[in-house]
Amino acid sequence: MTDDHDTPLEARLRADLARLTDRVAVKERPEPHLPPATRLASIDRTPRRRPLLLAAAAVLLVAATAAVLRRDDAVSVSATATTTPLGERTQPSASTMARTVTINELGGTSWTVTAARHQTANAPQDWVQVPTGGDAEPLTIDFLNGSVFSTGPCGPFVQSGLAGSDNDEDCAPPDPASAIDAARRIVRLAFVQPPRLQQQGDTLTITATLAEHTFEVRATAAGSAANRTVRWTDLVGTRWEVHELSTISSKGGPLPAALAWIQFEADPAALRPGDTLPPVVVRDVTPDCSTTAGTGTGAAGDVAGTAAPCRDGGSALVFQEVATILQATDTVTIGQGRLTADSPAGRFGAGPLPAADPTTTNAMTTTPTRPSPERIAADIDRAEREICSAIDLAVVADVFATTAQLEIAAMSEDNGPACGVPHPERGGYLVVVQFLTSDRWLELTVGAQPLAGLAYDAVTAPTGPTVYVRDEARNVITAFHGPDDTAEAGAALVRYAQTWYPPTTATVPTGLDTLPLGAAGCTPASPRVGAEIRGTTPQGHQLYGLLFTNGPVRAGDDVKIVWRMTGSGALQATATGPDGQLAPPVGGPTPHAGSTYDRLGDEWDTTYRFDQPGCWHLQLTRDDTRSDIWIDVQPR
Amino acid sequence: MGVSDGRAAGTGQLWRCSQGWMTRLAWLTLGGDLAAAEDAVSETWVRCLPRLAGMDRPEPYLRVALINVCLNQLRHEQVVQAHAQRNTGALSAVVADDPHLVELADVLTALAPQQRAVIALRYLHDCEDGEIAEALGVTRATVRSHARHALANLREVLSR
Repeated sequence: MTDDHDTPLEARLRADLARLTDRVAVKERPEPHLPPATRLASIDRTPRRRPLLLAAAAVLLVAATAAVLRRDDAVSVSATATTTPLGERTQPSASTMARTVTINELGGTSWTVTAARHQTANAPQDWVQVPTGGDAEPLTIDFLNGSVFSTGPCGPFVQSGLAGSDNDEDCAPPDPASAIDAARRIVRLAFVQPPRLQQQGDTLTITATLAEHTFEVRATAAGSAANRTVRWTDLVGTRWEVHELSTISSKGGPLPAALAWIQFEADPAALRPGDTLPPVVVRDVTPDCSTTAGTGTGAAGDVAGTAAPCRDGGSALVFQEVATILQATDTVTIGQGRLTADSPAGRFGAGPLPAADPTTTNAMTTTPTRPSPERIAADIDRAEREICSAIDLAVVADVFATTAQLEIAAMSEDNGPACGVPHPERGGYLVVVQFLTSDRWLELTVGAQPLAGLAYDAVTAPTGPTVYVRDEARNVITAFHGPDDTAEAGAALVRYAQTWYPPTTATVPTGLDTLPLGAAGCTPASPRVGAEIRGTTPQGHQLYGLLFTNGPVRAGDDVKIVWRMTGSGALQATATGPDGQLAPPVGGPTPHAGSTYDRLGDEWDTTYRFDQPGCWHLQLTRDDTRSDIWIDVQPR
Repeated sequence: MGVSDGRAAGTGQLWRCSQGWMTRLAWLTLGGDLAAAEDAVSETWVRCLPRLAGMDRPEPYLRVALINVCLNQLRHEQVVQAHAQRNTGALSAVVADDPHLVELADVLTALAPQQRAVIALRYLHDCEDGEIAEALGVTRATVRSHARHALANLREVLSR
C-alpha cells in the first residue's frame, strides 16, 4: 500500500495518523540492554565441544544435609528439569535428604553442579541456564547479583574468560570478541517470568552491578501516568528509592502477594512518606555480623523482620522481602532515604532462613495468571475460613426458612467457597456459596444481572435446581428456577474457576452431547451448555469450545474461546458474519501448551469480535478435518 | 561495545534513530499507553539486540518484533480484562485541543488490536499487505479484511 493508490479516505487517514503520532513526546532514553550474562547466554547456544544444557524452570536440589547455606559453602547440586517455577518447593521423591533451594538462598553461595538434565530453547524466559557438564568435571557456580557465573579451572568467567574448554589457553583474559565462547560457560539466573511489577507514583533508580560492570536503569513513573511496569531485566541487582510506598499496586487489582516484595511484605503500612521514626541500626547479616552496614531512621519493630542469630553470636535483622531480592553487593534505600540497609558481604545467619512461603515471601514463584498449587490451596483455605464465618445467618434464615446452624462443606474448585445447611422442609442439602468481594466477581453476571455479594445455590434440593442470588447493590435476593438459570450460575462458577484457577474437568458442564448439532443459518445454533459449545464435525472428530463470556453473545462483544479439536496440523480459524463478510479472529489462534480442559484434541484460543447481531459462522480447520460452529449473536 | 556492557557492537546509533518511530508505533498499537509503549520498545530491543549487529536492514526486523511484543501484551491484558478500563481515552488525551483528532483517536482506541496494528503498519509505516501479513502471522486476505473493517469504522470521522 502506497500513497499512489490511496483513496481520499486513506490519504486523510494517513495524514491524520501522522499528526496524531507527532503529538507523542518520545523521551530520549539510554539504549536498553541486558546484563552481560543474559546477553551472552542468548547469543549462541550451539555447543562447540559439549552440549549446552539449558534448564528451564528447573529446581536445584541440594544433595546435602546442610540446613543453612552460607557464603562460600560448597554443596553438591543437581539441576533437574521440571515445569515448576523457581522457588516452588517440589520435594524430590528419590531422597529425603534432598531439598529444593529457593531463590533467597542462592545469593552469595557457591555450588558444584554434578549433573544437569533437561533442555529448552526458551532462553529469554529461562531462569537458569546450566552450562556444559555431562560426564565432565563438576562445575562450580557462583550466584551473584541475580546472575550466575560459572567458574571452572580459571575462576569466574569475567576474570578468566572461559571458553568452554578445559584447555589452559582458554583461561586468557576475556576478549569481547570471544563473548560467544564465554557464553558457553555461563549459568544465568534470571528472575522467573516477567513479573510486570508496577509502582504508582514511584521514582525508581535501578542500578545493576555485575562483578566490575555497573549499569543503571532509570524508571521514573511520575512522568508516565503514574504507572510503570518494571520488567525482570530491570531487577538484576537493584537499588530502589521508593517514595510512595502506600500507593503501590499492580495492574488490574491488588498486587499479588507473591510479587509484593516491593511493598516490603513484612509491613507495608509501617513506612510512609513523612513518617518520623526513631533511629535504627541495620546490621549486615553476614555470618560474622561484624559490619555495620548502614544506618537510617526507623525502628526495627516497624519493619517486621527476622532476628537471625549470627554464626559467632549476636543477631542481625533480616528483612524478609529485602532478603528475597538483595544480593551480596547490593544497596537498598527504602522510603525517602530514611532507612538504609546495606549488605555488602552477604546476608545469611546461622539459623534457618525465612521460610520460602510462595504465598507471602517469595517474589519469584508465582505468575499473576497461573497461581501455584500452594497458592491455590492457601486461597481456598483462607476463603473457606473467612467466608463461612461471615455468612449472614439472618439472611440465610429468610431465604431458606431455617435457623439451622450452617455446616461447612468441603470446598473445591467445583463449588467455590461454600458453607452448607440441611434444608428442614425440602430435604436435601443446601449449599451456600459466597462469591468473593472483588473486582473479579463484579465482572460476573447471571443472565444480564451483575453478580455480586452472596449467591445461594440449592442445586441439590430434591424439588429441583434453584439458585438464589443476592445482589448486594440492590439488596435483592432473586431465585432462579429451572435448568437454564442454574446453568447460567454454574457457568459463572466455571468461568471463575477458569480465570483464577486452572480449568478442571469437573467444572465443565455436561449434556452437550445429547443436544442437536448446529447447522447453517443457526437452524439450530450450535449447542451450548453454560460456557461450553460443541461444533459440528465430520465423523470421528470432535470440536468443543469454552466461551469466556457471560450469558448469550451480544453484538459488540469480544469473546475469547478456548478450543479443543481433534485432528492434526495447525488450526486455521475464520468467521463469517451475518452479512456474509469474512471477519477473521482479532486474536489467535494461539496454541496452548498445557491445560486441564478435558476434551480430546489439541488446544488453542481465539478471540472473535462479533460486531453485529445475527447468525455467525465460525470455521475451524486443521490439516485433516474441518468443523463448524454457528452462534446466534443477540442484539445489544 | 564489548562484553562488559552487554550490548551488540554499533547499536547505539541505530537505537537513537529507531527509538522515536518504535515508540510511536507501539503507542498507537497499544492504544495510547505511553508507558507500556516504552516498555514494549525496550523489551523488543533487548530481544533483538543479539541479532542486530551486522544486519543490513534492521528496521523491518525490529518492526515485526515490536508488533508481536505489542500484540502479545494486549493479548495478556485481554486475559486479565484490565486493558479496556485503563486505556480508555488514552490516545485522545494527547490531542485534546483538536476535536477531529480526538474523534479519530477514540475510534482507533475502539478497534481490535490487530485491526489497529494493520492501520498503523499500512498508513503510518507504508507497509505492503504482504509485509503486514508476515508481521502479524496472518494471510494477506486477513490483512485486507482487517483494513476493510477498520476503515469502515473510521469512515465517518474521516469524512467530516
